[in-house]
Amino acid sequence: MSAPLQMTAGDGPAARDSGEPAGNVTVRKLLRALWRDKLMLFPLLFLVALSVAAVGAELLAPHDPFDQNLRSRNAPPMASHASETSSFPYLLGADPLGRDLFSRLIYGARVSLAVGLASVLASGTLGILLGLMSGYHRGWLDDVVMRGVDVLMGIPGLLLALFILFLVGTGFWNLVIVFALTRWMIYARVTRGLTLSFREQPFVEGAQTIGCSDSRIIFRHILPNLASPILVLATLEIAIVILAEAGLSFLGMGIQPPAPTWGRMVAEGRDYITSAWWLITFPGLAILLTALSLNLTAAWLRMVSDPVQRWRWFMGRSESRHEGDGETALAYSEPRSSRTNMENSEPAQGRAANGDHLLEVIDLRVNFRTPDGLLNAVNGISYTLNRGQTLAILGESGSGKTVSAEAVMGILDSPPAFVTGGAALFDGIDLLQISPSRRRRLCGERIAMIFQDPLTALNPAYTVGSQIAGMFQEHRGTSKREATAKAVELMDRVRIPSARERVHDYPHQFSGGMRQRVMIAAAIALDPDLLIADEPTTALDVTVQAQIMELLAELQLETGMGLILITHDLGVVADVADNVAVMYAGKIVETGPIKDIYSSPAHPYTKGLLESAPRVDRKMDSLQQISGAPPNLRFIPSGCPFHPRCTYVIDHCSVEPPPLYEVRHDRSASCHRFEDVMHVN
Amino acid sequence: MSIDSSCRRADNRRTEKERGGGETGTHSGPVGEAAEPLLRVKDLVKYYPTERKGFLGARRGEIKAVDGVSFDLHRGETLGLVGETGCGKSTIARTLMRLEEPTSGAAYFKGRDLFTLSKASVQALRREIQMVFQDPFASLNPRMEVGRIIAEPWVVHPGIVPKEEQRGRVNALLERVGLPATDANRYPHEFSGGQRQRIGIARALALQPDLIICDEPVSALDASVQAQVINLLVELQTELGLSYIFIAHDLAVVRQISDRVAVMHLGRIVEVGGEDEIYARPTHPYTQALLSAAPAPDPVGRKERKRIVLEGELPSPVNPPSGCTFRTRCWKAESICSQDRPQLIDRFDHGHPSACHFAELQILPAAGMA
Ligand SMILES: Nc1ncnc2c1ncn2[C@@H]1O[C@H](COP(=O)(O)OP(=O)(O)OP(=O)(O)O)[C@@H](O)[C@H]1O
Ligand code: SF4
Ligand code: SF4
Ligand SMILES: [Mg+2]
Repeated sequence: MSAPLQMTAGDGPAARDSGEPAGNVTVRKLLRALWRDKLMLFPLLFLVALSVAAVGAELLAPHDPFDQNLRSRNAPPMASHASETSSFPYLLGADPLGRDLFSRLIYGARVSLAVGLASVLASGTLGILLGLMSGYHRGWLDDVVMRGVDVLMGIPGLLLALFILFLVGTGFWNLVIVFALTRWMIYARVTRGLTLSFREQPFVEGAQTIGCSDSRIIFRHILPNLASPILVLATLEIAIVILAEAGLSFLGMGIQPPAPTWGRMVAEGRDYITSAWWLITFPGLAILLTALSLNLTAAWLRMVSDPVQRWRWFMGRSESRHEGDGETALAYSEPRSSRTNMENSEPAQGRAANGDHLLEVIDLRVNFRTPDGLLNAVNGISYTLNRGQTLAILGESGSGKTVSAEAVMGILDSPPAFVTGGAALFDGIDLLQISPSRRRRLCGERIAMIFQDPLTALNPAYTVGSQIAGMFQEHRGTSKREATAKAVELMDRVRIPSARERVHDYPHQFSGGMRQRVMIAAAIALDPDLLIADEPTTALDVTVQAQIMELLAELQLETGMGLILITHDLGVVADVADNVAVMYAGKIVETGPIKDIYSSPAHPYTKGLLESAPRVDRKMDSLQQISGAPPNLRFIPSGCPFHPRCTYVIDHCSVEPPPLYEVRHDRSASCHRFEDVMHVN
Repeated sequence: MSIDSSCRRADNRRTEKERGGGETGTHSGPVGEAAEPLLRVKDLVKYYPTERKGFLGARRGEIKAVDGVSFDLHRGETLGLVGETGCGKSTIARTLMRLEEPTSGAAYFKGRDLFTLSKASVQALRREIQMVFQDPFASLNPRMEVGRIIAEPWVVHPGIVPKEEQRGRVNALLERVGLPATDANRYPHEFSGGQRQRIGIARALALQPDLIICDEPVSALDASVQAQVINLLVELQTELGLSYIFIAHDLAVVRQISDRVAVMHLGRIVEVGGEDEIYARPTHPYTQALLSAAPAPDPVGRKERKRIVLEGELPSPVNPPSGCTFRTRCWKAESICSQDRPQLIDRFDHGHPSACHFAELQILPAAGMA
């Protein structure tokens, strides 16, 4: 019972899933992302330069920003300086009082950044605290805060700021307070929303169950998870505050003279717009570039910290990069050698239809091109399905079951998925080669598929009746009335109670089991020859699962349809399958008739799965177990992919990938030691 | 599994338990009394309002998530709770953990009613009852290192493990659940589902609880990893004398780990008894239907296997059927079933009560040993 506890120690980084928690920004990750997106260097460098200028204004400014020099009134850029003490010219010109514009801009940066940072700090602290409290405690506090947010959001911020400043007077701190009071609700709203959703997360409940106080939960568990969205928000807010400050200064309500601010410089420059263009141009440019850089940075931060955004962005790129290059075209190698001999060992001749063979998949390969590298999801699988038969594809999550079925159906999302080789012969037609329009006609008419989650596969906007009827209208040109009548018939056939009344109901009005029936009704509407069912009962309760499986078996008996059943459930497979193909790390590791495989498995993985499954009809003293975890498809182990977890492993296994050995005329297994595995039984 | 061997197992655990019993001597009840259950739940009810505020501030309706549930749990014992989705299993767990306030009822843990405890006593209670969650991906804070996750209970409850010893204890716990001590410095996203579940178990063990409530701890795990976690839980139980409430919808998993099993349907327990009683001699039609629907990984003889396929409408917890909640799908239902709510009573002197007017013993064949 205690033997196999150490095993997880062995499954190193390869076994670890490298998915990252949403919004996890670390410095290293940022640097790496920056390396990828080199264009971001410009806005970031601009912001760094601006900060340096603001901090070191005394050292960097070539002249005193207050030093008036009437001889140099409105001196143009590069004019030499009026006083003999300095040789440095007026780099960007001089203003109407003869003050150096460049130096004033540098000091202005200090004002802008100081106001921006201090205001964001103040409004952020206020807003985040209120947001956390109201989101976490809800109740009256939430009502009050949200009411405040609503009211404030309804009033134009600048108007409110002007009004307050008019009452309390201007000045740096007054400005900061005004911004805190008029911008906090931005943070409060976002923080509250996120807090509400995090509050329901099991890890927060976990913290509650170990006895964490509310404040500990809020500040240690929830707040750190809000860091990245808030960081993005704050960056944007700095830009907004800087713009607003410029606006207020322009109106004379900002920081008072003689302190140089960009906004007032623009205001003052307005009068000279024709005679001294530089007076308005350079401060205006400074404001523009700062706001632009901050916005770009915020957008970039959001992208880096949000995997979904990053993904979207990558897909856009990879599409343009890969389009039309030879890689996506199907490559045909000599696939027969590794072919699975499910029924008989005589190889099918060329592309010709072979008597009973309904579907023949040969050496199918699919990979995913992701932002984190190449991922080999299906690595050369072959199987054959005969008419009227049921083939179960058994495998754990990530073993490639769904991807291989979607490749056959031609519904892979590409990019990121690409079929890189193989063939799928349906009645002699290669599904991977035919035109999309031909495939569309074939799929639905002769091949149908049902999915694990019927709610995502059914369109919530249409009645179930019209979705079933659509099959007839689209493929057979049946009239709407007739199609609806047929839909009712089908709903009866899949035993949806009171079909006639429910045909006009929407998917959400049905329970999970009934929805699955609706999807089956649509799938079998045109009497397909082949039905691919991807985990059709995983989301359902056992009693409902039994009904669905029963239904499928009946249909098969009626119409002689071939069924590919994709599942991870050993029990379901045992119940309905004729043949089974066991998948592991994108390969079929064992295949053959169900009874033989269950009674004497030839692959250690199959054997392990069968022995480790708890049973309803018997309680074992202790469960056998397979050590370790399924591999990460990015790092599939060398040689036999199962070797790090295998109890039969020999030196050879980590080097030499086992071929699919023929165990018997109708069985094969990809294990160097299949004979030993079978004989210990 | 024969009856006597299961008794032996339970006995083992009880003696193990005496060893660690001294530390938790805060309870008021008599200490050594074998009959006193660790936890006694009485008439637990939890209704959720379906609409927070109606037009006139009135409640619109209620979801009867848990509707009068009673059971006992003894020291060192595992009680399995099975039932289909939405039948109220998780709600029981959440009210017992005081994550949710019950509508009514009582739950005596070592003699004290959990539901009337003050906030401070709830805090102390956390040390004795812990929970393992279903979703290994969402139940660990993504921003905390594993070492800090496991040590956090000691920060929250100071005085249990002094700061300088925490590091060593974290390492010991990690090794106990089958992870290398060096994993303390990693973040949750670097681990697979099974490994995360081990981390969750290590955290639950940190406070040395007497009772761990496991809500679907293996249902999110890959088939080849489930057995590892089940075995780990069983080992820890024998070693530490833990009691478990083990919640799952998978009948096979529940059988494997439980000493006693309670079958739930729509907020109520319809049948409860020893694992062997429920699985080999079910008396309630719902239990019988569940068992017949659960496929065994055994293709031999599948043609002969008889299967009870339920027809009829699934009942809703918002508007449960009168009388017996199973009657809309029950093939034995008669008019009395819609009038009288069947009581959960022992109808065959097997020590395993069932709530059906027409309860009937069904003897199921045990599978031959492989
Ligand atoms: N916070 C809530 N508010 C309203 N209804 C709820 C809430 N939590 C649970 N319910 C309802 O209470 C009933 C019981 O839910 P519970 O989560 O206890 O079921 P379960 O047996 O754990 O199901 P599963 O197997 O799906 O986990 C369900 O109808 C559910 O929709
Ligand atoms: S080839 Fe080697 S490692 Fe792979 S399953 Fe067979 S014995 Fe195990
Ligand atoms: S009480 Fe009636 S309806 Fe309920 S389970 Fe028994 S026979 Fe069926
Ligand atoms: Mg639950």
